[in-house]
Amino acid sequence: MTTDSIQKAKDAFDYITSEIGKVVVGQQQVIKQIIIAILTESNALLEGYPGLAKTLTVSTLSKLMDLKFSRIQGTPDLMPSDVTGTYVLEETKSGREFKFQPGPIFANVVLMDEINRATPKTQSALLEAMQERQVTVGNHTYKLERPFFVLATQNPIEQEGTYPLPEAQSDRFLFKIKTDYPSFNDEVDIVTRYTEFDEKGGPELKPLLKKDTIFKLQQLVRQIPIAQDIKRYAVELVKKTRERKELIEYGASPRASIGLVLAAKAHALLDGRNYVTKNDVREMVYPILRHRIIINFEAERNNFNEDDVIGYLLK
Amino acid sequence: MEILKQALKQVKQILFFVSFFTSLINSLIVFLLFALLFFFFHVAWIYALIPFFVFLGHTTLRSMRRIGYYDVEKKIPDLEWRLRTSADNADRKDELAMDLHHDVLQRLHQVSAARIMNKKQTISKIATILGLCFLLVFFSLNSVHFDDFIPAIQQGMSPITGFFVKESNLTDVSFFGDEDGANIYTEEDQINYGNKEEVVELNQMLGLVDINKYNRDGEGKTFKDTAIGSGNREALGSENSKEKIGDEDKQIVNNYFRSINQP
Repeated sequence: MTTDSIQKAKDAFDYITSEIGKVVVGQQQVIKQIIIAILTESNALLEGYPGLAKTLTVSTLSKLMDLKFSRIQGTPDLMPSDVTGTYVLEETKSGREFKFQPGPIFANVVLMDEINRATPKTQSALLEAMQERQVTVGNHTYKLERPFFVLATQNPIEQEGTYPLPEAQSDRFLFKIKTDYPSFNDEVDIVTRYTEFDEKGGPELKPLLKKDTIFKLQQLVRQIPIAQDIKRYAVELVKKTRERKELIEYGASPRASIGLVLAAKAHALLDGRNYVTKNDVREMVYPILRHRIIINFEAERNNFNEDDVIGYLLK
Repeated sequence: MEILKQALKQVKQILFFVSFFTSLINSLIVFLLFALLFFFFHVAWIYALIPFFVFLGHTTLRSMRRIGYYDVEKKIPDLEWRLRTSADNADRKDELAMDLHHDVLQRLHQVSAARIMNKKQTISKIATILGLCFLLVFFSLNSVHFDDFIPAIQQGMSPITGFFVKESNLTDVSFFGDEDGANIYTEEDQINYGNKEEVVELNQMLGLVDINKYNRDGEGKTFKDTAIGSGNREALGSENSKEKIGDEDKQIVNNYFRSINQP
């Protein structure tokens, strides 16, 4: 038995998933994790090889939400003012005066494509926006409209001419979502869809989630009851990353614990449950911890990656 | 939510009962084991109550500390995570929490001591208790005590060393020679000689034979063949001895040499 609100939320997500499915083939986990990031009003970093529909997934999702969407393409010559906005000289009746011209960051959903191609200076311009939900230009601080989330993408290959995200910034992303190659059958579907039908027309998508609905859902996530044991389990997992020095050089911060519990709650909501289970935490632990831990030389020497180490922690 | 709190209290009471019952059964087994042991050694059975109460107190305290809703959830999967979550959020009155509380309340009727208890384990423990009771009654009716086993134990014990040894080993003349492969070290008859000498020595140790007497009397004995490892050896002491030996002693010496000449 579930409350009406939970049932409605579940129905809405089922609808979103099916609508995205009209455009994006497969990538169910990626879609689910992006929705969870939206429900927890957090930022997500999508990492995957080129051509895996990262940008398409985010842009399709934004179309299903009645929110202001903007896209920034990360390039080495992208300046912070290109992101945050700048003062421009404007002619008025009283004469010339500087007027603030908001940048693309002033939106509800910001897609920062290939974030690691932007310079650290530009990347750090995003920091304040991502954490404080505000932008400071000159002496003025501008509040960003809520809900606000940054969905960034990055490419794990072609490292030349890229600037890896600083730890402080990657910690501000709740998830690092890994997009993988589609299965054989999915790829056949993709080929069929994009070679036999008119790509430009595409299916018509109706925006379903309005701003108010998203706020309510975000509140609902926070209200999901959770047992003390689950909270302890989540914190224990994060704490382990700081204690297992034989594999991990630097562990995750308490921000990871907060994110883990919140994400587990959202996962339960998507599943139509009004309580959280250990499984919710276990499912969310990979995207939440993989960019927050730095594995040591010994682990690297044994060909372990972050996911292997997290799997080891879960045992 | 008062109803939920009361229901959770009842669940706790059931858990306490189950935990105490399990401890009691375990303690009863301990009691019967000690009672049986004490009965064997003529100690009053009432002293078995000491380990019983110590064990009962210890296990009850330990299990009470470990008690949790997890035990209920393990037996009733419908309540898995729900019960714990509801109990931890019993004071919350928002829509989601209330819904969870109602859900849990509906499922709580499934909770009973019989469902939580580990039936297989309990049955096997009760069977153990019955078995121990039977043994206790049987031994008390037949007055079986540890003392009854003392003569039997002593019989198998060497009076000198106190070790349990086979009686036949002490008197059996060929206790080494008969074994397969005993001649891997040297020739078989040499081993036999050695064995026989050893038996004589053992008999002397046990006070069965005073060999010193016969060593003196047997001086000057010669053997037909002294070459090591060639032919059978035969002691001729009884024939060649020039000593004067009494008839009775002579008979013993003859018997001794006859026995050591046996193949």
